[in-house]
This record gives sequence, structure tokens and C-alpha cells, in this order.
Amino acid sequence: MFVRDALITPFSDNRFLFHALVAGVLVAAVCAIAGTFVVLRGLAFVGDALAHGVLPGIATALLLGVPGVIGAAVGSAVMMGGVNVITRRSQLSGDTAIGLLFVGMLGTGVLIISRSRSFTGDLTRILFGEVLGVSPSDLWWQAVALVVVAAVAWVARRPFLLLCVDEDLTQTSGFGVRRYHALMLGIIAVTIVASFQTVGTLLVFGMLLAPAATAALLVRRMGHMMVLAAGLGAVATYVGLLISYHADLAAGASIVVTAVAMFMVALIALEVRRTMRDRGRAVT
Amino acid sequence: MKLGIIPITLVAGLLLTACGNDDGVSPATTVTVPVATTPTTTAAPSTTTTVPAEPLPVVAVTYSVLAEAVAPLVEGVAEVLVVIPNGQDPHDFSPSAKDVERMSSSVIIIANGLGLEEGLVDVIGRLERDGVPVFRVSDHVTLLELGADDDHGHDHGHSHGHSHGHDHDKDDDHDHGPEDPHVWTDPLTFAEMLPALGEELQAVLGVFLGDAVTAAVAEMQAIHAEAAAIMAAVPDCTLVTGHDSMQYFARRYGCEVIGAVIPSLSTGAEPSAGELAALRRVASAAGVKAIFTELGTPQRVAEQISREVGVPLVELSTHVISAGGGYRKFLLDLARDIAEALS
Repeated sequence: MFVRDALITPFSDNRFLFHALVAGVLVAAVCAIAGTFVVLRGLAFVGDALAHGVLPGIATALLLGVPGVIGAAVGSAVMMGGVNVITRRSQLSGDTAIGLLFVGMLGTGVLIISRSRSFTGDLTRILFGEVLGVSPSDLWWQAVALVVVAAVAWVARRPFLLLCVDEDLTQTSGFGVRRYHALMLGIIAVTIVASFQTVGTLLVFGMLLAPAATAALLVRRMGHMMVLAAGLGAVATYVGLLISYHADLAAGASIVVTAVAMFMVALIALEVRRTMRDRGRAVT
Repeated sequence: MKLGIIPITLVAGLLLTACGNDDGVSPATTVTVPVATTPTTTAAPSTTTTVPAEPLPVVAVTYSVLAEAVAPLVEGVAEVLVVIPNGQDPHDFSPSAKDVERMSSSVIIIANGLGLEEGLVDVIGRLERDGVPVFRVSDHVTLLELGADDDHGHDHGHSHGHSHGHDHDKDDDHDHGPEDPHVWTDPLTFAEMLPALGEELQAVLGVFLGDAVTAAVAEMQAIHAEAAAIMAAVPDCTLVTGHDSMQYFARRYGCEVIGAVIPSLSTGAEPSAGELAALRRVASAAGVKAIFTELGTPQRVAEQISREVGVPLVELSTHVISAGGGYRKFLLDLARDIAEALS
């Protein structure tokens, strides 16, 4: 009875908390798909840049009174286009271009927010999200994003897998590297745009990386990784919300810190197991 | 220790450019002359006649509601500069370089204190060390202390007049203390600062303000009487607010604040799942008729709570002045909006 009160009643009594849980699970699922590609193809920096690049878009959208999602979509498109142009037009490497645009977009976002007279407080809300303010209609949008991302990942699973392994192999197998790379960035962008309202642009990045990285430690196959990452992300959401409920901590941050803690635990567990096995071998 | 010098020199530099850039009469003289030479007594009539020729000295007031209380006192003798634009959350404002420049060239800075103007605390402290007089309202009114773990302020206010003049930067540096800065939501508490403010303004402007202060106090009492009449009609004044901003009002007009979307004296905090669940329980159990939101209330979170409790969201103008009405309209609107939503 006590266990039930501690673990289940918070969600059955408070609809806002139940909505937060559902939204978190949906975010975890969509982030698991995109995050696995990010981890396997080493796109963490691009993902980070995308997550922050949407800030001026969201700020402008709020200023104009249009939904933040539209602004975020435009922001991520500008970010990706900009990275593409800078890397092709200059001799600079990709990560320099990404870093430049990342800082530029983030700064622009803060400038737009500081110029407007009405929503200064929203900066924290854009960065850290409002997982406790999720409405039922938000859940539908997140479900749609999940279906779109999952469908694209399924259809393009072979070129995506090849991209994660070897670019030359992708080319010789008859898939355009640049086209599929852009498509991959596209689904990462959709993931970020769909998730920022729940966990915020700063914390969405944690959901993108932490469960997928944990899964990458534990299993080998890409499909398994995605499923495991989705499960880990869902658990992190549930545990994080419970922590926020019982310990009076900020909800979004609780979820992401739980997800990162799970990665650390997995890493330590693997390390301990390896040491034990090595020691066992040494004895025999 | 060395680090402290840099900002001071920075501000000093700003001061210099402020004086250099201004066209017409150098503000440096208008700033320093009354402070240095004019005594606290009534100014000579000759000074008053020369006023139209020169630009009026500037009195910097941190936020709009306080500016409405200052304006009647200095009408015709000084210009009121509102640092935090009306409509922007005073809890969450960072000044631009221009704001700092304009504050540094004012004859006095009038602030609420208690960390209400979180983003201005450092700047005001620096300017004060540079010699700009600073008046903090919270030093001159009976403050409400909030209990550490319960949300109700015990009626254990005490005056802070004695502490006036000591260095405030250290305690203001931190977040709101347990003392509530929202003194302007009760006209009688707010009016307590008027005599001291009048004296301070008289000293820096060199103009007799005694009659203006008497009139302003009388006006505050009249506003209180009207608000009390409006609130007397409310049968059960139980409030859920956006953040914990209405304790002074509640104590004066027999209301009880049972919770807030952001259970904090500042809008900067983020509510946790546990706090929101507690708010939903308390609001449902008390059968509140509305959930009040304010500037800086997280709209989406408030919407979920109102949906679950099954009562409407009502916007209260607790930190914003509506055009042309002054403090009178501000407070009476506050009372009327609450009375309308709860009856």
C-alpha cells in the first residue's frame, strides 16, 4: 500500500503529472531513434548546435504570436543550411562552422528575448522546458513526430546503418552520402523541435544522448539499441518525475540527470564486470 | 578585493561619458549642486523660478508601481525615470548599459529593496558606493516575514527603519530572504515610506515637499478606504496566486493566500511536481473560485492546474500599471478583479 502511494498514486491523482509521464515517454521514444544515429555517427556536436540553434526561432515566434514549434523548425533549418554553406564555402572544418553558428544563434536568441518587453522569464522555460505544463493536444503532436521519425528511420534504415559504419561503403552501395546525411540531420531536427516544449532545448540534448549512449554500451545491433534506449528514456522519465514529486526538485532537470546517472551506472557496472572477469582469468 | 575596482572604474567611465555626451547643460552640475549646497530646508524662491530654463533633475525609480507613488511628490520639480519598463517583470530584468548610464546621472535612486529588482541589485550597490543616494522602500515600512516552511506570514512584522544606511548589498545579493518585498499591494504599508521618502527627496532636490507628502498619505488612505469597501463584499477571500506576491494585500483585506503556482517570493523559481500536486490538492479542497496568474507566471503550467481544479484562470495586474490611472487605479483594479472573480 505504501509502495503504491509512493510510486503510482502521484500519477493517478494528478492528471498534469500523468500527461508529463506520457509526454516524457514519447520524447524518450523519438529521442531514442534520433539519438542512436547521433551516438553511432558521432553527431553530438551537431545535435547540440541544433538544439540551441532553434532558440532565436522560438523567441521570434513567441514575439510574433505564432506557435513556438514553427519558429523552432525555421531556426533548425537555418542552422543546418548555415553549417552546410560555411563548410562548403570556406576551408574551415565542419565543427568550426557548427561552433560559430551555435554561439551566433544562441546569442541572437538571447538578444531577441532581451529586446522584447513581455516574456523575459520564458528564457528559462525555453531552455529547460515545461514538462509539468504539457496539455493533451501537445501529446498528439509528439505522437505524430514519433510516427514520422520512426517511419523515415525504417525506410532509410540501410543507408543510415551504412552511414554509421563507413561513408565510402555507403557511396559504393549506391546511396548518396550527402542526401542521407541531410535526411539524418532532418530527423534529428524534427526530434528536437517536437521535444523542446517538454524538456527544453538544453535538456532535450540530454535525452537525445544519454539513453542512446547507455544502450550503445550494452547492446550491439542498431535496432536493439533504439528499443533499449526508448525503454531507458521512459524509465528515466518515470524516475525523474517521482524524484521531482517527492524531493521537490525541478522536473525537467530531474529527468535528464536521471538519464545521465543511468549511463554512469551502466559504465561502472560494465567496468566492474570486466575487472572481475579479468581477475577470474588470472586466477585460473 | 582587486576585482571590485574594475566595475567601479567602469561605472565611473560611464559617468564621464554620460556627462560628456549630453548636449546642452552639463548634467554634472544639476546633479551635484543641489546635493552639495542646498540644505534640507525650503529652497529659496529664486531657484524655483529658474527651473523652467534648465532641464529638471532626474529621479530614478526602479519599477513602475513605485514610480506612480513617487511622481505626485516631485511633480514639477523633478523628472521621474522608470528603470524597469512597465509591463516587464521586475523580478527578472537585466539593465542595459544605457539604463546604468541614466541611473548614474540621476540625483537619487529609489528602489523597492529586498531583492525585488534582482538584476539591479549589483548596479545599485555600485552606484551607491560612487555616491548616488539610494532610498530603499523596504527600509521604511513594516515588513511581513514569511515562515520558512509554512506559506502564511505570521503577523510578526517589524520596522527596519533602524537599519537604514548600512550596507545592503550583502543581504540583497542573495535571493529574496524570508521577508516579502511586495509591499505595494497594501496602500497603508506602502504609505509608511512616504514621510521618509519626502525628507530624502527634499534633501537632494532642495525643494519643500511637506505638503505633497501630506497629500500623498491622505490619498493612500482614501485608496485604502475604497479598496476595503470593495473587498468587504467578498464573502470568502481565498487566493491562489501566480507567485507569492499578495501577502500584504491579503493581510490588509482579510484574505488568505493558500498557495501559488510558483511557491516563491520571486517569479524566477521553477515549481516541482510535488509542489504543483500539493497546490492542486489544496486548491481543490478549499474550493477556490479562480486561480490568479500574474506577470511571470508559467502560463502552460497554470492552465493544467486550472483545468484539473476546474476553475478559470484570472490575470491579476500585480506588477504592472495600466495607462493613465496611477497607483489609485492599480490598487482598485486589483481589488475589483479579485472581488469579481470570487463572487
